Amino acid sequence: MSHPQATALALFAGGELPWWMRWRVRWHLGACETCRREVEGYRRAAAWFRETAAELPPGFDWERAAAEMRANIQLGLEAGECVSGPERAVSRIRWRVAAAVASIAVVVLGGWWLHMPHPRAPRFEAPLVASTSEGIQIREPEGSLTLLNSGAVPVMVSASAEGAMTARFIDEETGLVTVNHVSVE
Amino acid sequence: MFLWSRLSFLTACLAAAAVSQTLRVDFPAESPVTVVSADWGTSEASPRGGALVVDLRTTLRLRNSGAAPIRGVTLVVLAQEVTPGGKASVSVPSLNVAPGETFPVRIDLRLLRPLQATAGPLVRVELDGVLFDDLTFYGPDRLNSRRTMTAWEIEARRDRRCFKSVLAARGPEGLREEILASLARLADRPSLDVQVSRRGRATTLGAGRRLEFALLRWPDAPIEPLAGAALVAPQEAREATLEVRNRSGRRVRYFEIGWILRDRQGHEYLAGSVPAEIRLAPGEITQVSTDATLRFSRPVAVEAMRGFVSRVEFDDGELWVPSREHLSGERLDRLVGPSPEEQRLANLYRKKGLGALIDELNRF
Repeated sequence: MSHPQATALALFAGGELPWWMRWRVRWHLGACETCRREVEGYRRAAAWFRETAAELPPGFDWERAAAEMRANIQLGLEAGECVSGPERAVSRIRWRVAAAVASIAVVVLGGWWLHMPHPRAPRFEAPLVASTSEGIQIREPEGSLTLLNSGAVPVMVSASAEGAMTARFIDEETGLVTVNHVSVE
Repeated sequence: MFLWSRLSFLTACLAAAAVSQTLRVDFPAESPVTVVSADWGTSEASPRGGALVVDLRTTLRLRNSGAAPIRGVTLVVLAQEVTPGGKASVSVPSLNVAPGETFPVRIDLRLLRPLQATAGPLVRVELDGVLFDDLTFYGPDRLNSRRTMTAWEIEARRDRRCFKSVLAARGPEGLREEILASLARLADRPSLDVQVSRRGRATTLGAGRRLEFALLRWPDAPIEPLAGAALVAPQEAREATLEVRNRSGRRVRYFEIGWILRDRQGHEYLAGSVPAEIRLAPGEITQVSTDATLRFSRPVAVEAMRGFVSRVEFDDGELWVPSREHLSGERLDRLVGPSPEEQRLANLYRKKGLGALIDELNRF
């Protein structure tokens, strides 16, 4: 599955995407837990930023800031007029071509819409314990906790059918046997 | 682009603040173990996509403030905001810490959590239990640390007795041979990475096929396994059921059955264990089952399974563990691995030589 770019997810979280891009990202999020979490993260971060931004430094001059913004916008408009070409009349023939292209586009998009796979409901994943090269971990939808082996070798890992896992090794720093244990209910 | 740079700045700020407010250590006021210092080492936080990765590396230095030597300690590590359905712990067995002495406990962990800021510490470290050399225990024991640490201590005494008798009977060179064999078994121990989940996780097993356990019956084991089976597929094993009989004259409240898999090439792996909290009167027969799924990291064509009694706890708290003869007789020692004490003694030999090992065996 290919994922939207991070910038697209960030703009989607802020409601700043064009409608067709917004629709594509929303469709992708319906089936992708990873991107959904990322969008949630951006939303939380934006909320925090708004709260922080509300606390402006004392003596902030709103009038001066507004005047500077108006001047910048005016400058941008004038520069745009300098580089734009003369306006040309749109011929009747070009309108017909545009109408034909639009009709074809409607047919193609309609067919694609009817044949595309429907977004799947997100699958609930129960918490689990797992061993990795770095240690043993608890994985849950909201995050994970890994107890690291600290590069020790060898590591004796054993699992228990009650939903638990143990990693035992000699800690090279302390010289002591260390037993890490994780479990889920 | 501007929004992206703002978000990057924001996540960097959150990351910097995350480490300092991540961990809190809470021990009871009357605890026989007290925290002397905490070294935060190279703890750090970094944003990853929409999440924050917090690497926490700390070494707690603890003091034995009690009156008896400590043989083991277990600290519970709680991250309720991130993994509300899970628990973690760090234990240090095979200690010999006299009253007033200090010892280190290293906790290295990694948290992956949403960027959302939380009030209060993300990780709490609390004392779950301390085992003393007279097998008395202190602590809330929420993770059954008393049972686990007592079993390790019984295994430690068994293994120290064994090495001392080898030294007495065959001299230093005999002890060297024994400890080299232990190191070789540890190095050759076959391993199989697994995931364990309970209740409702989707599996790829389908119906699978039911495979019977070949059960080892030791005459002196308090529990006799009678029958057992589990569903197996190339990458999973699940729904183990076992029928056992209490053939001791005492009530049993807990037992564990070791679970060994053999593939078509004849390689054996210790897949895990099946534990059971149960009240079993003398002579009583019962059936236990588990809803857990063991998912292997690679396909394993399981051809046969073996099961053996690996731990039994009587109603009064006394524990039974297999003897070294049991384990070596069935070639289980290379699968189960050494006890924590044997592992410590072998490491001592590897680091400091035979003289240091003999000195250590003569200490207690």
